[in-house]
Amino acid sequence: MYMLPNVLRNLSGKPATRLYPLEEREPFPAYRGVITNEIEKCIFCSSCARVCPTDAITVDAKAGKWNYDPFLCVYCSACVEKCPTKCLHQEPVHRKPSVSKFVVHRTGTPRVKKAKAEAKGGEGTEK
Amino acid sequence: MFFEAKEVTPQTLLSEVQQLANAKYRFVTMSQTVMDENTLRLFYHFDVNLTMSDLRHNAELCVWEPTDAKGMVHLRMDVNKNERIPSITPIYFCAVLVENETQDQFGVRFADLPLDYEGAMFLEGEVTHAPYFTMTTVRRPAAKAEAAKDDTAKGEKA
Amino acid sequence: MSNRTTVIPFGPQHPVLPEPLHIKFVVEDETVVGAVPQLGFVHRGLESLVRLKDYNQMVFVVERICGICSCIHANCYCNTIEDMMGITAPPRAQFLRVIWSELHRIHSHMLWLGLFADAFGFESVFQQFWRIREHVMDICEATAGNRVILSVNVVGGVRRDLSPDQIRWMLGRLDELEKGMRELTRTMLDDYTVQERTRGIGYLSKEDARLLGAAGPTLRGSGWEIDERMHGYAAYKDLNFIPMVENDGDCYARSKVRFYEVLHSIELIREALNRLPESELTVKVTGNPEGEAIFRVEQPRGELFYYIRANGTKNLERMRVRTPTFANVPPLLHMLPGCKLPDVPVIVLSIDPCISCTER
Repeated sequence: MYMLPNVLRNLSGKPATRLYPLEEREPFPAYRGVITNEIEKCIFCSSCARVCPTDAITVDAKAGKWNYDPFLCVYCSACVEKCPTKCLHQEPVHRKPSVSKFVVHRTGTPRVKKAKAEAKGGEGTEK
Repeated sequence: MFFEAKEVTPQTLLSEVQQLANAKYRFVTMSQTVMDENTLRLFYHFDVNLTMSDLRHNAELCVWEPTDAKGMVHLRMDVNKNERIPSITPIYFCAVLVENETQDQFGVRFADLPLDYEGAMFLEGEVTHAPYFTMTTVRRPAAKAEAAKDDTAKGEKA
Repeated sequence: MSNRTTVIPFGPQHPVLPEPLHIKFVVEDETVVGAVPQLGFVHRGLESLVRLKDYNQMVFVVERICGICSCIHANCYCNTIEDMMGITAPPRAQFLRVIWSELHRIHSHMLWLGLFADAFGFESVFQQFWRIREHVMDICEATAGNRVILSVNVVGGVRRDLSPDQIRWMLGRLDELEKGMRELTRTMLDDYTVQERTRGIGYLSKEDARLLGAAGPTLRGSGWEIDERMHGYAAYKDLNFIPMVENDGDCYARSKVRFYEVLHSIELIREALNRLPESELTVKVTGNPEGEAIFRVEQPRGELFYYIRANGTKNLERMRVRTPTFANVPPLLHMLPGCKLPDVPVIVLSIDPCISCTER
């Protein structure tokens, strides 16, 4: 009996749900979504791979490869906060549904060790 | 917070717990940790009633001090994994779940449990020994050498 | 056992049971005479992951023990490790942890209130509670990043901050939430049908509640004034917190305790938002934990207890979690004999079972 005004208001008002995927809500800016890497800034230090709780990121420093599995990732953003060059970004949308799993591969230039470069340069000037 | 634990033996355990029950203590839980191959260390945690009237009269009980376990009593007991451990269920019936879980996870047995699942509370009846899974390797007819290498690598990792 | 008894399995899958718990009822002509539980349907072995993940990665594992109370698990874990290493989180982080924990408490209790109404067939109230619960979900998503698994706690502090704009927006949403809750007060607590279905059902006396080890609203509904927030961890020592206690010991008293806790939590959040101190968010953490430590916090369902043992390496040695539903199952087995079969879902739901917490 006490519920009657509420029921009548709900019957005459608009529904509390929206017709997803025909209409989507504006995502909140602080939402943790897909991770992207600007591979030009990456120095392949593997900090992100060390912090990841599910081992979704694997880094091959010598070959300059950065692999990310969006289906193992739990979107905790620990890697984004740990990255020293801030090349990892997180967009506020969740990954799109997919019928098969895939791994994201990125290749960049691995960092060249400074000592070797100086030795090579030194040899060059000596010659 | 760190805590001080009183050492008990399997023979003195029941009398200690009876004293705590008479002093209106509440049984919180029992923690288990493995000390070495044959020894299991059990901690029994008890808590006394912390009422709001105490807090209003004794303001210092409100302050959080990380190194003091106010109101809690802990008992520590080291047992051998092969011997039967006395159960405190005659005094606190709520210990029945914790003791069954310890039986499942650590492979020990408790003496005279009223509701004894005998190691099958969390696990199925047919699982009787560790490891609790079966691992099979799939050999494909082509590229047999690579498949063998992959399987051994996975076996080492798991 | 006379030949009038039947054994009815109340399965892990049942339309009215929200959690995968299996109980075999021994029934004599509609009256329940005995109950034998069987657990183990969601056992994932999360305590053994401490061998593989280091203590910083374990925060994320611990959050996923339970979906409804995840922030509070992480809070307790971080507090235990911080105590072991001798560091204290800064004041602003303590207040923010309180705010997110209380938001979790509100959303958990509102979920429960909806399910409780569904247990005796009152489905409009069920959906109405969940409709106003969306305010809390939107606040969590806008401030912390996710609706349920917040991931804001780290060892040493919190990861996210609240800006003044967000605080103003949050206070507006909390006002709407409180308005919605107060509209449903008379429906949930004064309605004739609700009282007939819940008063006198599932009685737990004061002495039984202590001996059987009940925790949380199950204990507070039987007259004990015990709430872990009275210890004053995080920022509770600076806020005006009072535990909600009822003396009747039946399902109605327990639902009253949870209803008033929601309203009290809204006041606590408002007070904490108005008194947020300025400080940094985390403290730098170096080294590895060593020793043994315990910690207790108040989950929506009761008293959560953590025991952690570490030996100086980056992996912990032993982590033992005792969740409140684990402690509330023996009182449930005591309450069930003597009731009628249609009252079984009401009693099982009144202890607020969370089986994924129980068998982590």
